[in-house]
Parts: sequence; structure tokens; C-alpha cells
Amino acid sequence: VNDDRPLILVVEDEPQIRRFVRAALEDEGRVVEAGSAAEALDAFTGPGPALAIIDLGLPDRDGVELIRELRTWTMLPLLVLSARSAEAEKVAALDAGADDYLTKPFGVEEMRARVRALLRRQKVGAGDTVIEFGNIRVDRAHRSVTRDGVAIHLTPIEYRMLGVLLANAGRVLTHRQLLKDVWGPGYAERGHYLRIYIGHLRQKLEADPARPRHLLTETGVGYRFQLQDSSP
Amino acid sequence: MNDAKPSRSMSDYFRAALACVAATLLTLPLHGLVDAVNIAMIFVLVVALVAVWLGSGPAILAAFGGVALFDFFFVEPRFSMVVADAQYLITFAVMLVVALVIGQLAARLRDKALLAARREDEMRALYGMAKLLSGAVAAEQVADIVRDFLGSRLEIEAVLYLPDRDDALAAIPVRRGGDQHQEHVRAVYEQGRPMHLAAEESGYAPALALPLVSSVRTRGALLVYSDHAERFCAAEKRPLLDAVASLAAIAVERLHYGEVVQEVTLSMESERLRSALLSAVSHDLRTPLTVLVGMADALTLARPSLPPPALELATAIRDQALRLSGLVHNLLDMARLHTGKIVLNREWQPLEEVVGSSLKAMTGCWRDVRCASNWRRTCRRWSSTPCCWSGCSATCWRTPRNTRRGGRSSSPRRWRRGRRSGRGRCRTGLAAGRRGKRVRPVRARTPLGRRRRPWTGDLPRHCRGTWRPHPGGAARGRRNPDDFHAAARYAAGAGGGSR
Repeated sequence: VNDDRPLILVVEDEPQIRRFVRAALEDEGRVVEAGSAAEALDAFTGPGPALAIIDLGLPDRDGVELIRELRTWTMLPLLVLSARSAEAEKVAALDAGADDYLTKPFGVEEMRARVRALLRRQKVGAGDTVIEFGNIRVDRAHRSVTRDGVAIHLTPIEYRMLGVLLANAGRVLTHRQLLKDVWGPGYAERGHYLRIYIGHLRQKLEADPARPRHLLTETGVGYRFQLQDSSP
Repeated sequence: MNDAKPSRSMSDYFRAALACVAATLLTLPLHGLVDAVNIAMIFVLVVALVAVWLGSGPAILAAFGGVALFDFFFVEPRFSMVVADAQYLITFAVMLVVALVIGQLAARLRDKALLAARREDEMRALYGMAKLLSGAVAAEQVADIVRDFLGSRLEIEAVLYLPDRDDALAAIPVRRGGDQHQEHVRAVYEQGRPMHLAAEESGYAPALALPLVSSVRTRGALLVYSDHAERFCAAEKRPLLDAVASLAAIAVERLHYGEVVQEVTLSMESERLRSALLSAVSHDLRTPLTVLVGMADALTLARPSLPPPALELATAIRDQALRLSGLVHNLLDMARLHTGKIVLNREWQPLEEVVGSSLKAMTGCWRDVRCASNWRRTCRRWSSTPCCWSGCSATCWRTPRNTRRGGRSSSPRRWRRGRRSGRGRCRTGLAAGRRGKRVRPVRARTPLGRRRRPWTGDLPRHCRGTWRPHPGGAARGRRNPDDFHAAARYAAGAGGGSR
């Protein structure tokens, strides 16, 4: 049977979790399971997966090491599922190259939404010049940002930050990653710059800055730009 | 450095006199065979030997005695102290002076040799004590070694006073029958200077208290006492006592740092084990909960859809599993807090981000719609205020949520009744103050639509000019984020802060 749906790799040592994750993702694509890091690497022979869901507590290897190794030769989206809830562990996984992080236990709908966002990010790519979210329209070719047709003035730093966030839409960007991408490697420790400019962007782009729908805070970890409205 | 001279007894003088008599008896047969001047040399030799063996005092006696005996037995007229030839007076004078000088030089050399030997002995004894102290693993051992050393060398008693965790001095070994020296030793420990205690002052034997001064701080005090005060009060004894106190201080400091290292190692090891246990418990509890939530979710999303009663049961299972997960999460956090090792990453956060994160975390938890809307309205008002919240970026979002929960659970029952009946008497809000003075949130737009200058009352004059309401309705610093940060920090209140 010729199935064009994307291949999703689930790397999880717990069979019961693999079972319901497979059941939940059947609508999003074809699912292939791996119970260990070695099996996960074997799954990359032939047509590789379009997305990988990785548990950090694998029996043969630490999940962060697997992510780091995968990032040396592939840029496919990586979603982490883990019971490790400490912010430092999330940041370590994201800095190693993961795109998103879900802490166990998680809702199936939330996982599906994250998977969809990551797959959509692959489709959108970096070539789209016009991106729309909510009532905001960003024209990267003409360097303009409008709300309902009315131009919004962004400073160069704000525009650069918006560009980085749009290029990584759906992905969690740690504070360090954002600071390095927007200001440069020498500013990786100046978190207050980030908070202030994120606040400015929210004031200009969000309808209610205290309850952002697109520019979301991942507490203690970083920020995520959500193209689709994230309100429940 | 004090030059201690060896003590001399009457027997030394007797021996010196005896040596002169013996020399006379030995040289008497030589009279007439040997010239009298050569016999005089034998008496000078005797003086030198007496000085070497018996010291300077007996040598002086031997010098005068030798001259007198030489005059009596060998100078004409014999057996009389009368001198017939005046030239012998010169002989006697030279003989006496030479005998005295040689005797004094020899005696001084002897004293120095004896002193050097004594000091070498002391050094060897101190080295032995230091070797013993370096192997001591408890304060009691240090006290025993010091006491034995001073008991054997100076025949005095010694007690170590070491501070406990509350900085109270405790005697080692414990002194029976009360401790009359405690107050004086405390003063020595605090001032870091030695103190002599007379018998009437201490109500006990005369004593000397020495501080145990190490490289960092005073580690305790050494008290020496004896009924014979001269055994430790003499000036020549102080260097030895000071050296003993220094060695004891080094040993006590080494024990202290050993204890610190042991505590830190133990703490790190227990922390590592605790973390490993918490991680294992967390993993083992969350995995089945994940399965439970996921499967219940899968049931609710199954196609064709489940009949309504089954769907309701699946949703209930999911909700309860999530609630259990929240409890597990809180329990694990409490366990981490109980370890006391959580380091907060305290930073200034924009208030809107804190309340936004808090609102996001409370999504689905609001049962009281009116309270929720009030809360959001409060947050909206504050979100346009240039105000920062100082707290840990990873945990401060919990503060508003916990404050609200705490307010709900600990408020009086009639308030809760009022809240349920919609009268809204139980409120949770935000207020900022500086030095106890309430600060109002900024209203960027008046009801008439005219822009108002944001509140800058407490800001320094040079900061006020940098504040402008921007088109989004918020006030912000135009130039540098650091300016904004400094000003916002000032506004949030170095003396007051948000609450």
C-alpha cells in the first residue's frame, strides 16, 4: 500500500506508553516503535522518519546523548517525552537539539498538537515570505508587520527576534539559544534583555499581553512561538 | 631568647675545693724538681678543668684557692702566706687573672653547650608530640597528648578548652568539682591573648591560660596550672608553652576541617542518594500515571465514540489520574524542598510574564468565574505597569497561584461562604509598594482618551525623562534594556517590592 503519510518514530522503553502513543498518532502518520536507542538508530535505515518522539530514560543509553548524536547528521523534529520535570533537564535536552518537550503524564490531545506543529513546521520551511498568525501578517520580503492592515513599528532587535521565532515556530527555544541567535554569542547570559524584548513584542503583537496566544513562555526554559492560536 | 643557666649546688663548690687540694697534694713531691712557675701552670689547668666540669662559680673559687695554696706551699717562705720576694706578687696576679678568664670562658661555653643540649631535647620532645598530634583523630586524643607532654616535661597539669557548635567552651578532660577557670578561659578565647591567673584570683592553683590561635581564628584555649607557679611562669618556659599551644591549635584546626570535609562528603553523598531515589520514585510513579492518562484519553478520543456513560467514566479516570499526578508532583517538590538544597535563580521578571505563566498554569482550575475575571483584570492593569517581580524564573509563577490557594484555604469560613454566594469577599490581588508606601498601577489611558504620563513618582529624576508610553499602551525605556531594568527595579522597590 502506498502510504504518503509521514513516518513517526516512537522511542520509548515502556510498551504500554508506546501502545497508546501509537494509537493516538495513527491519524497523524505511520508510527514505528523502538524500545531502545539501538533500535531507534536501526529505524533510520531506509526511508527515515519525519519526526521522532524520544523518551530520555532509555535502557541502553541516555536520551539526551541519542538526541545529540542524531543532531550531528539529521535535522528532523525531535519531541521529548520524559518524566524528568526539572527545568535544568528540559534545558539540557533542548540545548542538545530537541525541538519540544512534554513532561509525563501528558494529554493525548496536547501531544497530537505538538506533533502536528512540528510536522507543519517542516512543511512551512524557511522559504515562505508571508506568514500570518491571528490578525498579524508578517511580510519578510518587504520587512513589514501589520495588524488588520495597520503597520506595526518594530525596532531592529524586535524584528530580528520575531524572525528567529518565526523560523522556529512550534519549537521551544531556550533563553540561551534565543540570545545567541538575536544578540550574538557574547550575550548568552543576559536573560533580562530577552524578557524585556519579549515583553515589547507581546505588547505589540498579542491582544492580551498577560495571556499570550502565540508568544508563549515555557517557564524556566525559554519561549515557543505558536502560529496557531494556543487558547483552549 | 632567654639563656637559662644550669643551677649550681654547694657540692660543686666542694668539688672545686677538693680539686685544688688534690692538685696541691700531687704537685708537692715536685717541689725542688720543677720550677715554681710550671707548678703555677698546673693550678691554672685545674681552674680550667673545674670551669668546664662544674661551671663559673666553682671556677672562681678554684682560681682564688689555687693562688692561695700555691703561695702557701710553694713560695718561700713555705707554709706561710707571707711573700718574701715581691716578684711573686706579679706571678699571683697574672695567675689569678688568667685563671679567672679561662675559667669564665670555659664555664660560658659549658653553659651554652648545656643549653643547646636542653633545647635539642625540647625540640625532639616537641617533634614527638607533633607526630602524635598529627595522628590524633579526636579532640580527647589531642588533650591527652598535650597533658602527657606538659606533665612529663614541666610537671604541670593541662586542660584544653574547645568550643562546641554553640561556641560554648567545654573542658577536655572534664574537670571534676567545678571549673573555677571557666570565665577567665572564656576571656582568653575571646580576646586571643594569654592571661596569668593568681591563686587568689582563680580560687584554685595558680594557672596560665593560652589561646589556641590558628591561621584562621582562635580554636580554643589551653589552661596549665600547678601548685608551683614557677614551673610555668618562668620566662624561659614560655617559648615551650607557646609552641605546645600552637601545635595543639594546628591539631584542633585539622580536626575541625576534617569534620567539615566529612560533613560535606556525607551531605553530598546523601544528596546524591536522595536525588537518585527521588528520580527513581518520580519515574516509577509517573510512568503508570502516564499510561493511565494516555489510555483514558485514547478511550475518550476513540472512534466510534464510546457511549456517554463510558465516556464519562473515561474522562473521570483521566481527571483523577491527572489530579494524582499533581499530588505526586507536589510531594516530590516538597521532598526536594525538605532537603534544603534548592538554589533559587533569583532574577527580575516582568510582572506580566509572571502572571501570564501563573494564569496558564491555572487554566482549567477556575471554578469561580467572577474571581477569575477579577484576577485577570488585575493582571491586565498591572501588565502595562513598568514593574518587575524579583524571584526564581523557574518557580515564581507559582507564587500568585499558591497565594490564591492559600487565601482560599486559610480564610475564615464566613468569607468563603461570601465568596460562594457571589459577594466576593475573599479576594486575591496584586499590590506593589516601596518602603511600605502603596504604588498604584499605571493607567496609560484616561477615560477621556488623553494619554497620561505613567507613574514615575519614586523614580530618580534622571530616570523620569526616559519613560514614554508606547503605542501599545505600555511604558517602557527607549534606549537601553539596562536603563529599563534599573528603572523598573527601582519602581518595583528596593525597599518594598511586589507582593
